[in-house]
Amino acid sequence: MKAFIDLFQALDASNSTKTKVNLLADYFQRHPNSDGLWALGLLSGHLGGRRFNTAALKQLAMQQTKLSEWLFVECYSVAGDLAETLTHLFPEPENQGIDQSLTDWMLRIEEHRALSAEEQMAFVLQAWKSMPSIQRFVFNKLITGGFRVGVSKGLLVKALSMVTGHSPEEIQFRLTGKWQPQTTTWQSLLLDSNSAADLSKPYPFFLAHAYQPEAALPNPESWQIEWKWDGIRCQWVHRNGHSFLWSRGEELITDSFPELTSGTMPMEGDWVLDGELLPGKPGAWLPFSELQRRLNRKRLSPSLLRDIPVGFMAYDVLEFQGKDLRQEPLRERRRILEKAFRPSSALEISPAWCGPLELWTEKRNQALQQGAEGIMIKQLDSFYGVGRKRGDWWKWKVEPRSFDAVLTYAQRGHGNRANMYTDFTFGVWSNGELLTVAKAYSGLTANELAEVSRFVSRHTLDSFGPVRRVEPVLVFEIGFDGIQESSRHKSGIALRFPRIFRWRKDKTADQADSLATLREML
Amino acid sequence: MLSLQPEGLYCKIGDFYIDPWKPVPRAVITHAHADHARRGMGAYLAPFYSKNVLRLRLGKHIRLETLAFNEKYYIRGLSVSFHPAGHIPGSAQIRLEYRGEVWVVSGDYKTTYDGLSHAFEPVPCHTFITESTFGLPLFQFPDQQLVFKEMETWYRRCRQQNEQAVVLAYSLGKAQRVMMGLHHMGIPVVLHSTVWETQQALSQNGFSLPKAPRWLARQKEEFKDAVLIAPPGAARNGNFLNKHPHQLAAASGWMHLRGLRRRANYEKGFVLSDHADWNGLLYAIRETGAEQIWITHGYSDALSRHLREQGLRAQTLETHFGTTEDDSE
Repeated sequence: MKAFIDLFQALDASNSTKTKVNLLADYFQRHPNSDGLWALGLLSGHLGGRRFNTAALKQLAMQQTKLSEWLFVECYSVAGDLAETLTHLFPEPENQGIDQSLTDWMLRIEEHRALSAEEQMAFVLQAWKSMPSIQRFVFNKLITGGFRVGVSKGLLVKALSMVTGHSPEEIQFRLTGKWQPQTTTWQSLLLDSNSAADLSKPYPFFLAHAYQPEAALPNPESWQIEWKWDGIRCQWVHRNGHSFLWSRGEELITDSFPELTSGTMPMEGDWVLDGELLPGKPGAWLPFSELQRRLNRKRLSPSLLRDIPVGFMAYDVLEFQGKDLRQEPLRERRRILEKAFRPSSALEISPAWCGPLELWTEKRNQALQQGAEGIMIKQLDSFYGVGRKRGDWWKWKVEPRSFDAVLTYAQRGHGNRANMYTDFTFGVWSNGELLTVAKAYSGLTANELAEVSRFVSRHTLDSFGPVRRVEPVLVFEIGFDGIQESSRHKSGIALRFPRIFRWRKDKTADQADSLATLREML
Repeated sequence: MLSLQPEGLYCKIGDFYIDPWKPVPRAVITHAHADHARRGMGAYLAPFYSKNVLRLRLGKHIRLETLAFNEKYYIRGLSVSFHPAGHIPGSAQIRLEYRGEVWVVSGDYKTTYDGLSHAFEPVPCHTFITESTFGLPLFQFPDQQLVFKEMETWYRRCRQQNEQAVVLAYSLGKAQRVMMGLHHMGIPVVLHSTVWETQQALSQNGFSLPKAPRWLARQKEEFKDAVLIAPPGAARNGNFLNKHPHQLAAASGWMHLRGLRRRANYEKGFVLSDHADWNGLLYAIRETGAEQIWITHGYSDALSRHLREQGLRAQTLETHFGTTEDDSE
């Protein structure tokens, strides 16, 4: 595993994207085999999260170090990273084990996933006792998941493109889908010519940039506008009689939404639609918060399926009759979408308009009533690109709204926000009490964060594990994109994408807004 | 014996303060870092080996008396003495004895020997007032020899890439420790002016430090083979390295945490602490044999709760130590 650890350390020490790409390319050049595949899977997050139960890992660490649980929690909260916490609590081993390849380690880890909890923990302990701390840290990252080292997918794609000679688009396509290092090879995933055969494969998503009204787009009539729906961006892949739903994070979510893929298909043959999964039915869509109840469920009860059905709002077609349409202009893809696909109880074709700027503004103003977040603006002649390319697709959200709330709880952050209070909970007044309405992590400058963090350390009233209740003194303006009734929150409302707009140093806690003010925005 | 006042830790019997944070007539000082030795005191009593840096930092004309380690100073039946704390050159713990009762104020300390500062000595006492900068089991620091080896590897790589190696280390203590470590490996160093001035003061105070040139931007090409040692503040606000290809490394106990190093955007972090780690703190507390422990700056709540669980009488003491940027780890 030494080569992979060296790569990890070098990536971790670099802030330059050029250096990172070179480091990655160099590693892949030397390991065009299963080690390269595992590294690729881990660094891209493709292989997903934790390998063993994290609660069991914590228990093991506490039992071995004889630390009280609260002290372990305190350490975790300061380090802001479980793998790192598990690493630092143990001394350096006296004897180091023999180095094994990344593949060997990963296979042993995968093999133990199927075994009992005792066997898993015995394996982990053995590993901890034989590894120097840097290796232990990387191992812990492998088993706890979330291997984030500042390597974006773009960098990986660039490096692979350098190594294989394929275009970045081709690499993106090859990496999409559900390949596994155990069941494929470097050769077939990245080099062979027939790798596109995988039936389930979606296309890389094309993403929009935020539209700035002052940077006017030329010739408004040559753009198509649509609602910007508030759901889960999704590709519906249908090939050889089988349907697959892929979320934008390239997760296969077919099984969570059986009603979509089990009914009558909107079209025969092989096709791929791009669109949005929405809760409700065509003509009677529900707010996004309802959709969250459908996510991450192990089992879908019949009542849940009945109360919160989902539908697909289609706005693009990427493949039709087995043919890749991405190089066709949008107007042609739109024509096929409207002509060939039958709307049903689970499928709606998202409406689209062309017109002058006044129409754009008018539609944007109507967005909230439609249950949309704003509008999309797409060039009629544009291809379906890869990633977030500037120029052809724009999103124009409605103006966010805001209110003033009081900081009530704080928690230390993760990653490079470790040992700093950066995760905040805010309350508004209701009957002389502060009721929690939002949690927010972003929006303050580094200096402001440091200042608030110091305030928290000095004005803590209570601690509940890693959470600090702070004196309700600081007031912040909280912005949000949407507001809905919610029976799951004590305040009775749920906000969409709350974030900190600014620190209202000019206001005292009693001048913050009340719940009644927020309810008026419903 | 001691109580917490708005001005600092007060000894009523002897009518003086220990490391006060507001101006008082008489101050007894553990060491010369800015959060412990502040301006404006009527008179200072400090360890002999901190004399020159104190004058450098607080002014030539302060009223300053010094004592050798273990030398006793009597006021109204109370004895005051300084004992090595191992934190930085000239740093001390303060021992107070009155009618058979002994209190010790640790100041800042580390229990491992850094090759320069007088090594920490546990002082038996009834009440021990200890710092807790790294008072969590998360902090178990590696041996400094390993860290210097790592520094050497990094330096060689910087040379290969033709980049100036810059180690950020606070100017009193850490800077000299890094310098000694590099010196023993035969690596030349060059000192940022603040570090250089401190170096002069320490040398005149009896520390035998190798000679090293002062960094001058216009001569930077001459210093390419050397490691530049500069205080963290210089990297933050100065443009003294402007366009000169370099790599920034920080030497601090905090570099133990990956998130902190990444937040600070350093290319490299060396875990080199002048404060005791978790095991060091527990060792020091145990060795004093104290029945009562007061815990100041750092993870004081966690450490005191842990000690109480072990059956000791421990409590947190809210002080103003550990609050100044430049000298903190």
